[in-house]
Amino acid sequence: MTRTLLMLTAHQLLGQRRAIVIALLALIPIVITLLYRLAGDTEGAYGFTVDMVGGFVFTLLLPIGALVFGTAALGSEVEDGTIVYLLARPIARWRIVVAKAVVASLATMVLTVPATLIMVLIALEGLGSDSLWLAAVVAGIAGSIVYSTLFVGLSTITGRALIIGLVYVFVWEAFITSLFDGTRWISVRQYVFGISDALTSAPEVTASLDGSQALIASAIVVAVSLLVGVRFLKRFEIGEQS
Amino acid sequence: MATEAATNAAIEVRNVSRWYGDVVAVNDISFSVGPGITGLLGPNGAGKSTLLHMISGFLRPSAGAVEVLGEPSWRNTEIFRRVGLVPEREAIYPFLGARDFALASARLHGLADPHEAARRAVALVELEDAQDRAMGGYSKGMRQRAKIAAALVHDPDVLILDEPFNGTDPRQRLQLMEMLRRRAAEGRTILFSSHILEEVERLAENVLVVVNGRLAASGDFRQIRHLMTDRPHTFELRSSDNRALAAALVGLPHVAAIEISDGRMDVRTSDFGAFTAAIGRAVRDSGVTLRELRPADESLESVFSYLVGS
Amino acid sequence: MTTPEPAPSGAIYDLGYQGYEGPRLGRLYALWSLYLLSLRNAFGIGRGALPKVLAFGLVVFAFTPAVVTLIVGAVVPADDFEIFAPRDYYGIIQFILVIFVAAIASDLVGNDRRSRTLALYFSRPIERDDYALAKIAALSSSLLALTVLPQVVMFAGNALGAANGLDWMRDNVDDVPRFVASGLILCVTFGAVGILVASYAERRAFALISVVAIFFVSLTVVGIIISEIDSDQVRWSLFLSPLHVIDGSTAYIFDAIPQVDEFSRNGEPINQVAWADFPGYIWPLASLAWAALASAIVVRRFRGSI
Repeated sequence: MTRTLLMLTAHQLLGQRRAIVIALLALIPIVITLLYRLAGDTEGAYGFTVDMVGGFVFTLLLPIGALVFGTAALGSEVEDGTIVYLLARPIARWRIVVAKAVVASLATMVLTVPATLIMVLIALEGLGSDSLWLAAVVAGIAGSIVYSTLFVGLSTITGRALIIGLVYVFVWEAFITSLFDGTRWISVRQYVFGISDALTSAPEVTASLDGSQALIASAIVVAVSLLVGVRFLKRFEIGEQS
Repeated sequence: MATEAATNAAIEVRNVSRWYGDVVAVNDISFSVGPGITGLLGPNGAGKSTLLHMISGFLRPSAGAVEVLGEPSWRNTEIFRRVGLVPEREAIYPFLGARDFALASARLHGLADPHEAARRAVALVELEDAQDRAMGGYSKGMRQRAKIAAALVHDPDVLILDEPFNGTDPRQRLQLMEMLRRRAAEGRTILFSSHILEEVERLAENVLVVVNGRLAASGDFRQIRHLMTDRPHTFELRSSDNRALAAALVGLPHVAAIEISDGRMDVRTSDFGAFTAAIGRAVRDSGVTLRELRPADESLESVFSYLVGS
Repeated sequence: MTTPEPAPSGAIYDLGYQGYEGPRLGRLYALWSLYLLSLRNAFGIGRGALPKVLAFGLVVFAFTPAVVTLIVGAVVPADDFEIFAPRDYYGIIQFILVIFVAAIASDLVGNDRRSRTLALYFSRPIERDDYALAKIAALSSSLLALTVLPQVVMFAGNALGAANGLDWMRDNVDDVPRFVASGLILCVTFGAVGILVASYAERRAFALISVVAIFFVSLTVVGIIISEIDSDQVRWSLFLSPLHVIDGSTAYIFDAIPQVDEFSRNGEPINQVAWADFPGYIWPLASLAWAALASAIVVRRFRGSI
């Protein structure tokens, strides 16, 4: 039963052009890193790597991937009307929400984390990595889960989850959080930075939350998103075609 | 509980209303549906889908109660162990074939042998030839049958179908109707909606007529049909001499009005049966040649508007 | 539609249909109607509550710097305060502008496709090119409400708040043509690029995210390339990033491209547009080139589709 849910969702998310586009986005850092290494100057390699991971992967690639997959996992089924084939079955709602969140997280992970790892390895090849690769991978996995689950939960509340998610990522996290330090607790980006900071000794990586704070906050966001998702899916109404 | 449901009606709707903001979609409707085939008839926008969605538990009634197999249906996913639903929307998973669609449905139902269940369901709707092609390339009728197959995998006691014959060709429609009749003969409950009088007439034993969110008629189809034909009726006639024929007809007791215009004449009668019995003699006696006689305003809407008394 | 001529003998029933004999308002009027309709849709007028809330919410965001300036100006009685300068305004709110463009562009193009009204438009006396251009024009002019309008408000507010309003206006009147010109260039460029990206996405949701991605991914990637890769040739990559180009265009129009005699890599922020050291006029030209190219591709796109 659960496997069928997972397979159906995976097919929906990965069998479309959007997966290819996200995969292409994930290749960008690799291409830039190759250019960087070909240019020959490795003095600032740590700074470069941190810029790429923190400035591109964590702030653009990861949230965009999670937005695409997280809001589509349930949202596109609601929009298309296929959600009825899941709801008209004797399946507990929480299974549906969890399955959707798991697949969205995995899809985001698969398309972002390996590319990031390759990029870090290329950038720091022969330089000693200070566990930067580990920080990038673990924080990337954590970020995939938190962002994707958050957006799955959001998509059960509103049909416009995508635009609201965009505002959250690009206005709240990118803009408001940089102005007001107190908002770091409600910024997934800061959790991702916090986790990566805790895993590497490289001084270029800094974060406003420490590792354990970030982990706790991440767990809370995931749990709340799932609870909200289940609650709203239970109350979800299918009316006349609108 | 199962025995109780078997003796009682499978679907029980009591004083149910549903409104969206200021718009009343369903207005204080009560009925119960037992084994056999029941047709939910009404023009588009009458509230049929809203009613079916409430029965399936996807919409909360604004007032009243809906019970399926003895349990409230709102938010009750467990009813789907014994209920199958065919939604109206054409949505399908375009990347699956009908067999995999039915198989997924069987697995989601947690059936012991999903492959066998899917095979059987696809065979029921005679979609084996296309079962491995992706549904994205299906015609409307094929999608409709794939949806029905997915709703039949767990062999439900209650089957709810929202406009199931949309997009099907006449042969497929006959086949589907035959399949539904067989299931009904096994004592199962089937409730389907349609806006086409003829579909309901051919398939349903019981009928529920919904107009403007209200239940306009319910019960045995023939009985309702009879009630419908007892209303004032208008006939359209063409003859060699309309005025002479009009003079003869106006003497009949049940002829209420006659209007002559442009070579044709409209006759309104209060008694369908008596008029059709008397018209032959009246024509012969007046020596006029009758060229055309047909009932006017037989459209579904006019029948409905009569039923709701407007 | 041909006019049904009542034939002397035959069986055409007069159902009351009539051919339209009156004056026809022509292609321009149709274009204007579609433009107005799209503009209304952009702000959710004639639609549900949510589109209105989203559109006007973003407008409010875009006005925030102007409003902050006015409030501070009213509280602090200094004559020469400047929290947000007109030349920086568009840069500060560029995140909001991009999201607005994404939301509106995906709506304007996606709704017609999803509800399959596109074919209906094309079967009317509206040319496909007109359709494409009307959509771009509607998006571009709706953007004025988030760009030039807050600047006007801020300018007027500052003038009213200054100790001597007339003096202040005399000193700063140069800003008006500048923020209008740079704002117009921004609106046209954003409008064309937004509609371009949205018109290639199959789903509205994907259009939304693609527009955001195009702007921000190019901004970030080009930013990283310039600051990290040690070669003068990478300066050409700036032209691939619309936000960089717009930034340069606005800076040039305000005559505010900083002089960069020396710049440091790695660590200290540098003004990349200044570092690239192209002649300043190239930036507005590049913006308009983006707009023209994007419009041309959109027009081609709609000639081909459906």
